[in-house]
Amino acid sequence: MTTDQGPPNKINEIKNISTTGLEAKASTFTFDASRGRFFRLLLVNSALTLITIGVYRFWARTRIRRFMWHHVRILGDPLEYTGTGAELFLGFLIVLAVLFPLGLVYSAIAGLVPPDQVGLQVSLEIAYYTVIIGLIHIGLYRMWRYRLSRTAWRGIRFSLQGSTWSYLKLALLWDVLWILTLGFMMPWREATLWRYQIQHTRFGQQAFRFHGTPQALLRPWLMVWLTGMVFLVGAGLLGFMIAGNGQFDLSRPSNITPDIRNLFIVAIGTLTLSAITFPFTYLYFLIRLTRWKISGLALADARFNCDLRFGRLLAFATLALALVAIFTGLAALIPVLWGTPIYTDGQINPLLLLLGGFIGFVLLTTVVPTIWMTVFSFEAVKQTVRRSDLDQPSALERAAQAADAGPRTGEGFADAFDLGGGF
Amino acid sequence: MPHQGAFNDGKTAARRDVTLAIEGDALVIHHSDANHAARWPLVDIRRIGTTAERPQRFRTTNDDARLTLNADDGAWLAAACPNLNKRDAGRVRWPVWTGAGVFAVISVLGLVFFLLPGAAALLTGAIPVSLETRIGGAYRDQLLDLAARVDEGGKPVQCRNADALRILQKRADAIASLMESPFPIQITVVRFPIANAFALPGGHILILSELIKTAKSGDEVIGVLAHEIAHVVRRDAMQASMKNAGSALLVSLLIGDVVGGAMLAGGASAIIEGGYSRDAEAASDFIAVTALNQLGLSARPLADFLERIEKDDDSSDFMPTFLSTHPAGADRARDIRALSQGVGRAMSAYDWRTLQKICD
Repeated sequence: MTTDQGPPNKINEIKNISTTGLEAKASTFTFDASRGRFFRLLLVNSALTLITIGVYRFWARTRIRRFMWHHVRILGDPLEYTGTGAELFLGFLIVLAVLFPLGLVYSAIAGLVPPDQVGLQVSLEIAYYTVIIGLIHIGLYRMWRYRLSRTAWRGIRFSLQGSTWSYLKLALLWDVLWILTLGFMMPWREATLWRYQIQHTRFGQQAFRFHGTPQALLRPWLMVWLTGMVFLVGAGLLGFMIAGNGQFDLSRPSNITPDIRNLFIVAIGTLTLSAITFPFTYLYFLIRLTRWKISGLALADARFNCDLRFGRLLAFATLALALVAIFTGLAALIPVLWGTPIYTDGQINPLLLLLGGFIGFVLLTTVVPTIWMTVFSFEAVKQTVRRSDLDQPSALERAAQAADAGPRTGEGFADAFDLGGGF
Repeated sequence: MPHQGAFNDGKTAARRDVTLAIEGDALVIHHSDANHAARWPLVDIRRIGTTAERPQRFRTTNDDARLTLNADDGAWLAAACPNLNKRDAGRVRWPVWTGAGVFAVISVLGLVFFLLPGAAALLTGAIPVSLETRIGGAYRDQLLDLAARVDEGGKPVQCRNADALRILQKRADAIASLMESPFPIQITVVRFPIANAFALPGGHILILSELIKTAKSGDEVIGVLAHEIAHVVRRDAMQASMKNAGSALLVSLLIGDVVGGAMLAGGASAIIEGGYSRDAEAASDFIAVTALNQLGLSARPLADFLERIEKDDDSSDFMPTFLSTHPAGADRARDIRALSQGVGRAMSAYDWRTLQKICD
């Protein structure tokens, strides 16, 4: 039976999938990776990356992507990742040639500014961070371009058109608005940048569109924003009481009136409450953001939909956060444990110090990310894929190959700034 | 019975059911519409993924078409294809990236050993004397703040005995004018339990109080002072701080990310600059001994002092010479003794007793 004549209906698709040996499933997207195999892959990658002082990371990332892409199946056929570690490595070398002279020029200029010229120093810092943020935007856009060009389904490549410079101008403009409104404009920023990216994304020759509105993001974002504001108010109050020009002298108990004590309790209370709430409101926002990004997508006349749920990811996020906190705490504890004998007898044993530093370094750079990716990132990808759908999958099947084969090398800037969330 | 499969022709994402057969040296992919049929030479067929995966998927070189087998382990096809698992050269050809790798290694080495010191020296020459003096002053204030955190029984961090400071200053001025120093020498004595002295940018010299305590005579202190003044004249501190910033940046880029890699960058940059600093030390010894000779003073006490602090220093037990910033004390002491011509003493016994009370 062939499916190239006329628009295939749902029954056709189900038959197609079952002939490939998979469980009959009504959904367009499936994800069938094993968490255990993913964890083993991360372990091997971490070990090799450590042994090679970081050089293996390009090949490690390629293996992770090949694994994850392969287990995302659309109408039963897997996504294919065609990138190589060598391409990433070459991209890194090219960026090294750009970033290093840039950094040298900055250090030279910074060295020439006298330490007491505060105004000049501050403007130099601002210029420096503007360049860094600009490079991060460029890095992100080029990263998407490379990844899409190395992603294929049924042999048809994805691609990202558009100009990095237009994206950069747009992103920097919205960064300024974002800062001026203390983050309030986030939904509008997200909508503008995501729309630019999606409208320049192609599957073969077929263009994607985006019809989401920033208003739909406003409520979830306001929760995050307000938590952040409450935290700032609490921190400001506490800072004022501790450092505020001697009006509150807390050094003697007799100075602490009931009013001051109540104010103190309010400040500590708001700080604690907002700090505990923040990760959860932020997770809720991220989930709504993902839903909004996918549900607003359209390819030809077909519309995507995503029904990712906060409740289903909450347990994984909490567990991952707790484990990350424990291991980060361990890494922070090592200098203290090692430092105590050093300071008590006045003798520094540099070998012990090096060993402690190394263990802390390994914990922070390999153990913590591995835990986070196994417990949370894997689950987030799995649920996002499984809870997404496309109303007319035939739009995908009709896409024709485009001539553009994408960039030759990839992701140097993204590597330098550690973008891409581990994948 | 012919084998069944699904075929994507690489032109669209449609999936077509096909029948498969090996005819001669090719796999023939049959489809009712001849436009969607294909003939793949067996030598060009590659497997996508591993043998364990189901369904098995295949491609052919330089083509976007894909073939998926239906409920079939593909053994019949694997047996016929000689290059199934061959890894073809990617779009980045191996000469390109081998060349790039070699070029990168050479340029990193070139950067570290030639460009960085050269650039630091060149930039240092461009910095006006007054600016370097101000930068050195800021460094000194930062170091004093740091030293103040080590509690020495609540005593002030700076030692200010005016008579003792005058003894040091008088000799420093004489040595500096002999060396034609562009910077006036500004000595700060800091209460700190490590025997050491530093030359900061712009003529600022920090002497830690333990150094005066450890010294057996005023001549040893003046020897060390002459060595630090030589660093000042060479503007070594300014060059070193520029080189440090550069090598820390390089190492953090190589390790992976600009932010997190800074942890390792400190140690690594010390290793990188080791060779350069030893040259600077040897040059400063030479300049110092020459000045002492011209003043008719003996440089031998400086050699004695270097040997003594090296014996006290635990770190020399396991740190190989090439890792440490200073050349081995014994080597330096030998060179200094060989150059020393003067026989005079730097100060009277009375002045030495006054100097020892600098922190009282």
